Amino acid sequence: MLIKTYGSAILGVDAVTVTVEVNVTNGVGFNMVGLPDNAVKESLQRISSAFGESGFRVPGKRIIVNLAPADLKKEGTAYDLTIAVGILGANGDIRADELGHYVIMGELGLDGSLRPIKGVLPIAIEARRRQCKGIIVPAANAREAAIVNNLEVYGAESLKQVADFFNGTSAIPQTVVDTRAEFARSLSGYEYDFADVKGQETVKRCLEIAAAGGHNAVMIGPPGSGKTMLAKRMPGILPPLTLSESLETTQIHSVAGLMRKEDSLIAVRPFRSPHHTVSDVALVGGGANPKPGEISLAHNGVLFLDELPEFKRTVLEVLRQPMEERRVTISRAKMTIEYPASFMLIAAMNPCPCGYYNHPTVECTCPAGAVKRYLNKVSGPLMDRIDIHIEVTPVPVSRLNQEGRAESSSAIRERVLAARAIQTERFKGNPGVHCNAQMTSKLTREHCALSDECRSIMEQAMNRLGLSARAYDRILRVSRTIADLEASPDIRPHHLQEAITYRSLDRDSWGQ
Amino acid sequence: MAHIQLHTYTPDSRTKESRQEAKELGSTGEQIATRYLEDKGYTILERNYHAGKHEVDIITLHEGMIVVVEVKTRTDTQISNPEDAVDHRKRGYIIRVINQYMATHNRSEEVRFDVLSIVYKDHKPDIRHITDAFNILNY
Repeated sequence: MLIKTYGSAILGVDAVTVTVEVNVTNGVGFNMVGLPDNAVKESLQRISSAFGESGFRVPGKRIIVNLAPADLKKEGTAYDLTIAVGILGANGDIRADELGHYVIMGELGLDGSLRPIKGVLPIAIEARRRQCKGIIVPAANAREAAIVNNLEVYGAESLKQVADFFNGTSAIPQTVVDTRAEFARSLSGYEYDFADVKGQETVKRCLEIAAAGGHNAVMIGPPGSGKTMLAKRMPGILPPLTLSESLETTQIHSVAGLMRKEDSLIAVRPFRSPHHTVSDVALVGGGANPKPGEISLAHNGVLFLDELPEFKRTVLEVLRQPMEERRVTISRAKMTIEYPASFMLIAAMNPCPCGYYNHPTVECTCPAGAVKRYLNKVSGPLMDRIDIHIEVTPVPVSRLNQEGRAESSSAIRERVLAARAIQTERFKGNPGVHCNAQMTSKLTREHCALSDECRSIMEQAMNRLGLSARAYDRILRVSRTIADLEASPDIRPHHLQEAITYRSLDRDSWGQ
Repeated sequence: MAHIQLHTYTPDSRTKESRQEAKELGSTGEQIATRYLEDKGYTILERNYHAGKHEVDIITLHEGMIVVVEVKTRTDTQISNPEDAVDHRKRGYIIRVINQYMATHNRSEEVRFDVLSIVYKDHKPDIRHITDAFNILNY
């Protein structure tokens, strides 16, 4: 008998339906066609053992399995259950009339239990798009699939349970998640709060501006000055995720297999901090079987690169294009895959190899020129995309001993939200631009008109500090954000002056 | 790659006499097996069925199922378990031979693969019957 069951292959962050056709005929032998990779071929051993443990016999017949579309490479272990159920159905061990209405996927253990798989969210989305009645996945993935509504989701523990389900001998409880309630519940789950950071008011101010305008920022400071501590608190002052942003991010994490069993949605902005030994592919995504990289995992959140100059040059260079386009395109001869990668870059670095350049009390021991050389490890074009340079100095012990808490993240977030609201209004007619940092040169000129007084301040600054031309636009955009934080329609002199101070690395005198 | 050369080029190291002995032991074993299976109610369809250069020992019919029996006979001076001697490659051959048998004899029954191990202890055969020893997925 010929039976069809349905699974999915993951392409990028989307799923494509894979039809598993199983035919059991006279004769004896087994063939599988349709570009299965090794993990799929190995599934036969797991299926054989799982059958034995679940009380089924592998039929002594000729079985042909076809994975369609036959030109798409099928990889991974998630087809175990699809194929196993297909064989059972084709051999008449389970009732086959309902099989075609469900998407059935899961990895089998030798004992017939089901193990979690990757990419359940896109698989569920694809199942709903095809108007399937339901989806059967390993119990550990059920909550992840259940955020898709209008789709029955069943989390099964074992092959036996799935067989009983189709035979109607016992039911699997349906997993139901109220997506909106779930989203609302997990919105406030930020682990770190700015209230825990003593001192560092100027740095906090910078990060607030960065959050308000969506600006990338780099923190420069000696070891132990709290750069990492501050960066970790960044997601907490960004505007809360919208439901659609949350779904996008969840989809990427689902494909990467990073969803935890008890989670169904990623409702807080992700914070990713890859180590500086990260490879190009691990950072931007790719590989023979493309996988999303750190920048995509940080989608709608913060990518924190600690010790920026220690990253390999090539790794930093590959960042440039995705930063501009806010997605990364991975091209292979056979396919092109796109991963979203809209993230805010927060970098941290020591000012020089010894770490104490510009330190208030400790003397820098670096030889002449070392500071410039260290900075030059980070390429100009990358630095160009970073609007705000923050110099971080260590907090004196007297401050650390002080009692009391600093301003909380939620208070800062209120101001950020107000500034963002102004920007949303401003960029209504410009699709793709959401915040000041994304302004093109044309938009910058339009929205950052300077008064005569401001113009002369700018001129003086450019000359006195020896600021480069590339700094000019950056300063305008940051000053726009500072003005927005004060709800000021015009950029005033003190906005501009503040913005100018955030270009330390562009100064001629840096490292002299 | 060394082990492949061993398989291909090293001639059978046994003497002519010991090869003859092994052959006799094998056919005695198959006779014992046939009798054993008949006693258990299996209908013998074929013995030493050939297809191409490969053969299967015994093809039987039992309770509406084609049961293919591979017989392995050993004296207990030999070390390994007889059933282990039916390795991955041999299993593959058996499946292909039976597939051909089913086609040429137009049979539509389900097939089961058994191994019958016979170990001689003090000149008495000790029979072990392993049903469903392997299947088309895990051979």
